[in-house]
Amino acid sequence: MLHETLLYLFVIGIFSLVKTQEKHAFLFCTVLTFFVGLVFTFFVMDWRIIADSPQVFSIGSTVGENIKLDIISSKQNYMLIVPFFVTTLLALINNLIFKYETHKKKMLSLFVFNLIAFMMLICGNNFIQFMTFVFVIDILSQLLISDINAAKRYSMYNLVADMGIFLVLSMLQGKLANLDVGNISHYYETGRHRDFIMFVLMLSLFVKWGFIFFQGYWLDLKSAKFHALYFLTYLSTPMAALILFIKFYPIVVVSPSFEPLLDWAVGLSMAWGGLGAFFAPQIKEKFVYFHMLCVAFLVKLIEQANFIWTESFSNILICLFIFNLCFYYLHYEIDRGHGKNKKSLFLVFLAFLFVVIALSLQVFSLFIPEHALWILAFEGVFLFDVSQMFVAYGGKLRAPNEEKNLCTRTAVVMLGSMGLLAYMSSFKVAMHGWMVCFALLFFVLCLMLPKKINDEARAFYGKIQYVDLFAFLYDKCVLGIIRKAGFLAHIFIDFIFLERTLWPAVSAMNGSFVKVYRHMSRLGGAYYLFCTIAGFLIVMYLMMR
Amino acid sequence: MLENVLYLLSECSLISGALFLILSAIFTDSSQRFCFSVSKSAVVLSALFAVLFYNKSFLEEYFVVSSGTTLIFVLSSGLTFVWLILASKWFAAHKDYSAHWFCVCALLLLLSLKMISQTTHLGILFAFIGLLFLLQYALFAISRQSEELYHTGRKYFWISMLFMLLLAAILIVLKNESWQYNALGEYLSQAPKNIRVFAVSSLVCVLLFLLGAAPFQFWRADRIAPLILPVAMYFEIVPVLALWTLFSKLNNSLFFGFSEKMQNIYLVFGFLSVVFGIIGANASRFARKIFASVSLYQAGVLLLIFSTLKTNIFPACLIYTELYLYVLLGIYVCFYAIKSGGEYANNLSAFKGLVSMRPYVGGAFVFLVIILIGLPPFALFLTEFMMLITVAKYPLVVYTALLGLVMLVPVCLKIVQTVCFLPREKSFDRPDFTTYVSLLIYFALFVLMSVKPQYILIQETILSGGM
Amino acid sequence: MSVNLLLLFVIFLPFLGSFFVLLSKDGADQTFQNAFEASIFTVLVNILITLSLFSFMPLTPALDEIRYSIRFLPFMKFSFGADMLTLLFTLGCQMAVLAGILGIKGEKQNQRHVLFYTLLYLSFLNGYFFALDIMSFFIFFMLQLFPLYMLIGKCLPENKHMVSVRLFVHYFFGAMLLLAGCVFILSLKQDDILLFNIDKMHLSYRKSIMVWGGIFFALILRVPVWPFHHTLSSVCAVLKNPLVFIALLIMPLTGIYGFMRCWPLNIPFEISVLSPVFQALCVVTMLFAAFGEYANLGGGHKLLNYVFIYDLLYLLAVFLPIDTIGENIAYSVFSFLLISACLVAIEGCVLRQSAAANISVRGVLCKMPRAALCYALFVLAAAELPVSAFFGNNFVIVSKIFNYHLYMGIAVVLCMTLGSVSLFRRMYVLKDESSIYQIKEQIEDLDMMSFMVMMIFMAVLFLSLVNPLWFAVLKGI
Repeated sequence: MLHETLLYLFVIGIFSLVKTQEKHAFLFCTVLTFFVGLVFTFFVMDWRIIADSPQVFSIGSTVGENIKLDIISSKQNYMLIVPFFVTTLLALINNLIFKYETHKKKMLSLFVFNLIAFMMLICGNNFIQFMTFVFVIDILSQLLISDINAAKRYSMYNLVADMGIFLVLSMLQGKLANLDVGNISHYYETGRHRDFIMFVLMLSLFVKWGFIFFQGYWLDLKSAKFHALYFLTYLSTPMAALILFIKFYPIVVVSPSFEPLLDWAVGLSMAWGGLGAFFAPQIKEKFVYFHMLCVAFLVKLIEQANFIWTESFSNILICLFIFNLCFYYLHYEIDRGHGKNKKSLFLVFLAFLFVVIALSLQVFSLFIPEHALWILAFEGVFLFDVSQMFVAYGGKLRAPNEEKNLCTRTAVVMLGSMGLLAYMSSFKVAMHGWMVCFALLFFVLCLMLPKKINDEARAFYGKIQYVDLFAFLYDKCVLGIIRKAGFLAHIFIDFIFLERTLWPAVSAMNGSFVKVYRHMSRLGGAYYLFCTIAGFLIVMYLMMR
Repeated sequence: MLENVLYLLSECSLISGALFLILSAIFTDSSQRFCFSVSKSAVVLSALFAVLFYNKSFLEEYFVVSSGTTLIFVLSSGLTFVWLILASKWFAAHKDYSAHWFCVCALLLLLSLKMISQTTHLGILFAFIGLLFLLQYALFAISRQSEELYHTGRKYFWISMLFMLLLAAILIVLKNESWQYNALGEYLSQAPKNIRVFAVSSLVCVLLFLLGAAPFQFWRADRIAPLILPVAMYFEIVPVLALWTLFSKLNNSLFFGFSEKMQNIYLVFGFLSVVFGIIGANASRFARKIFASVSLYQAGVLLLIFSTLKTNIFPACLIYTELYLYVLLGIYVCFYAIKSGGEYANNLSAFKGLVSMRPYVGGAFVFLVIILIGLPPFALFLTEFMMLITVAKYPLVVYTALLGLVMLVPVCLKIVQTVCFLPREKSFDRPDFTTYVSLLIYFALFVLMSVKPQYILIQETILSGGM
Repeated sequence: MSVNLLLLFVIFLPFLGSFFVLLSKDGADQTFQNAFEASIFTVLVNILITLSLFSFMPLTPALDEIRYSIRFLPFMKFSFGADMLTLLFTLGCQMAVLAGILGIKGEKQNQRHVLFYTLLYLSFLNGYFFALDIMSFFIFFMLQLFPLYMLIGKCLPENKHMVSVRLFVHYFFGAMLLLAGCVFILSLKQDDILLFNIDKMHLSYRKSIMVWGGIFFALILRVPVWPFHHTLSSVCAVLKNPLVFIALLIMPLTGIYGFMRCWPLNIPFEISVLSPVFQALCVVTMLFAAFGEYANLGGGHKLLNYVFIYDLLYLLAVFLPIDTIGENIAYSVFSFLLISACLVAIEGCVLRQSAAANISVRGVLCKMPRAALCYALFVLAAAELPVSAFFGNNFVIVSKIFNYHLYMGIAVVLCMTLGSVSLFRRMYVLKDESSIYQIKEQIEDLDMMSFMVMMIFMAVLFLSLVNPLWFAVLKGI
């Protein structure tokens, strides 16, 4: 069951922390990667034989039933874990084979513990467990970001998002008096402020996904290594946010504002992501924008599928991960290898195309006529951006047309093959199969577009790239206000009112009494007489009353 | 008849001691040490005889000697004894001052205080108050440190003569009546208003002047700084118990007929004393003056307590005063130990950095200052607490007493800061070994009193037995 | 060993230890090594004794599980006792002081007197937590002030003594109000007025105003609610010594503890009418503190404002009309003490190293790997990292606040967020690698002993989440 899988992975993780000599690192990592693969095999076997009713394994505290860790082995949880397990395995293999990675052991540990965190997040049943592992995932991600400013922004944004989640969960806990996530559907009956809860939760998730207005900290990650980048996009906080989205959907769908908010956010993010992927000159920036486009779309797909995670979603995630790996290898072959290795370049193109086809297949398999616009928009923007990326990279090669022709020829060959298959099966191909064909055709047509468009886009981006509007807005409208408010509060309340007004007033009053007293004392005989007479008169007055 | 003479042995010891010293001052050239030995012996003997004949009086119609008054006298004698020990050290360092006349004054002062606390006759009271004023003026004269003090002494003399005149006027007005307290009290409660007002007002003023309560604090709290240390110590410590005993006696015997009016009088003067005490302490730069102002504040608190007119409040108040004087005694022991270049420190700035060079004396001094503002669970705090519980029905009194302490805190902290935290500007002379021994004994007793307060509370039974 | 004896040990052991520290000889070069070791030993032994007291706690303890009475006077009986709340506060304070003592290890000036006063302060603090009756409660409430003043006075610059006087007068005023309350209580019923029995007394209208008003103001003056926060913040702003800083940070928690002990669930009507105003003041002060962290002030200010936010959170929690939140507050306070003490100690170490090398603090942690690890862990814990008891119990507290009032809950979470973000910003300033190439001087890292102790504290925090009574397994010590 899942608790056994977790135990094995935990042991592997602990072993990965053992210090070894540098020359044995590769062998050590290979062995551990093999064991992870083995664990995956057991995982798949367990998945096949799992019963319909979920099995719960709890690690609880002796006092207070609420603080406990649940590991729920159910079909749904297995389904949800699969893409992360596969992508982790792929990442581990990539870690092994990629010759420029010098910290293989550290990366291996990180991936394994990250996977454990994801599994605990998925099979959890209480709020504390969710928040714990969301935080753990945040921290593990941070370890990969070497640039201090990027790490700072990353942690700040995620901290704010996590506090938003904390707020929502504490509101739920306050009303439900129970930490089990199964009870959140009852919040609608007993609780209030559903719009507020929906808004705060969705805002937190938007921050974690890096949607529009919150993509700034993702763009800072362009200074990170590619290894870190693909981990952060598909094995880190955005995916954790996705899982939370699925777990907490009962409290967001009850709000009438949920759909319009999601539609606007997803729509704008997809548009911004699509535009950015086209305009951005640097590959890592493209990467981030692609991520924005894809994750936004994925969120919309899940919402359309009524938050039921199916095999299609797992496949989409795996495809996106492989797509990113291809992305990297394309950059590696062209920017670093200058396209000298024709064979590997061809293989990368081929892999890219296969991934595009597989992704499109999965996306179109979820096609519903009511939401056709989203799918078609995504496919259109995605394929256009990928094609222009090929065009741009083709321009970097010595014989630019040769590679562009190579890509075009490959695509045409694939298109032809698909057409032939369709003909041979007497056109009995499923609808989404035909859609994929048309998508591939579109892709080839985009490849034909002249390079001039790319150059003009580059020039346009060059003009606007120094204006980081969002950072400016945040700095002036959010941080600036907080800073000024804090400074003003400190100055006016503490300094001017208390330090310079109230205390000096008290001191001045005290000082005036002291002054009068000293002055009186210096008067001598007159003072003696005055006091005596005054005392006597007071007594007489009081006696006579 | 012989037994009546025996009952006078206590007074005779003091008188003979004084006479002996006068004769030796005139006819011989005995040393200071000899003078102090004689006076200390006289004090001890007097106390012993007082204890021996603790409820026997020579003239029972004029003097009441009970366990309570004996206890007061023994305590006063104890304080006088310690005062003389410390004064002898001062005079040993200042040979140009006359120890003879000082010791004579000391013995006669003790005698006056004894008579004042034991008498039940207004005429005798008048006489001994007169003697007290004269002797106190003599102490001013002995402290001939500056021209300012000379003029202060003269002013004190004339003001005290004014009060003597007031007292004399009372006697004249009441010449046809019995001057016994009880009889006089009964007469005054039925006397015509003018006579009553005049007599009681004058008596109250005299009492308050003796106690140094506001607004009559001008001669003591305000003028104590330039006095020599032994004289300052006398005014602060020695007469206090006896004078409060007199206050209680007059209150119970003479003023019982006008409780409401006395309540208001004590309330007003108590409040004034508290206020003047606080302002005076905050205004002072001299250490002794600060403590004199604190004593004024304490006097104010006692007056406020008395204003509640609770029966049997006097024993609790007296025990509290006793403990307060004990703490003040400790502070004066420290004053005697703090010398710089042979000079006793007076200005607060002269105490800078004392702890860094003389940690034991400085530590003791700071500890006693903190106890003065009511550090629990020491004996002073406990007795103050007991007193306040007794008058809990009067929240104004409780809050005035406690909030007054809050306003005294900055002064005490100023002292602590000066002694502990400010950098030392000059060196302090090494105190002699006996100072350390006396401090040790002092603190041992203090701790014993705090841990076993039953030993001091036993006095309540004695004092409740009657004055 | 008799549990009564253990109770008295916990209270008086630091008192005895303080005299050993005072009389210890200075080491070579005027170092205070002997005093340091004596104080560490004293505090460690005290911690062990406190842990052993936990083993006497059943799973659902009542207050009178452990109780010890001393008849002092015919009308005065002192009672001491312990329950989970007491032991958690005591243990937390002792561990915080231990962290503080480790934080001053590298100080150049002789800290013997500071350690002496600290142990005195700790002893009186323990007495305060163990006091069951109103009289002993007051006595230790008052006694704490004097060693605290001496501690502050020792470490302040000469021209800043006025702030310490102000602070002392502020606290003393509260103590006098409490004393007035004690006077009125004991005048009605002498002998053995236990704290939880005060509300059962039949007080007249006027007396109840004076008693409850006195208790309220005495305790509230300790907590940094506006306008009473300024005296504490003005002292902390000029203090450099981490141990004294920690001692000051414990003071608001004594006020919180007092409320948890004395304040009844059903407060008198005349005072309950003012509750909304009071809660509004708490929230406004929290917002000031949260925004104040961004006012470009130093690291000390940031930590102080962070501490204020949580003090006020606990105060709001105490005043919720729920009687089941006490243990959550206690556990949270325990964790909070550990976290803030360690952060203060590390910050002190960093400031000391940067001052010694005559450089700014930016990037200093890059040269201090052990300190950097500890600082990062504790900042994460302070920012509500969900692997500590701090997070778990704060979660429950905040949820109960939300259940009571939505806007109060929102303000609280906003302040907690701002506080956490500010700590993170501070951490990144200290870890700014862009500045490390300019640091050529030798920077001394956190010593191994301090590092191990802080790691143990971190483990304690983690274990407290999983099993809050893990200390109860140490039976039979």
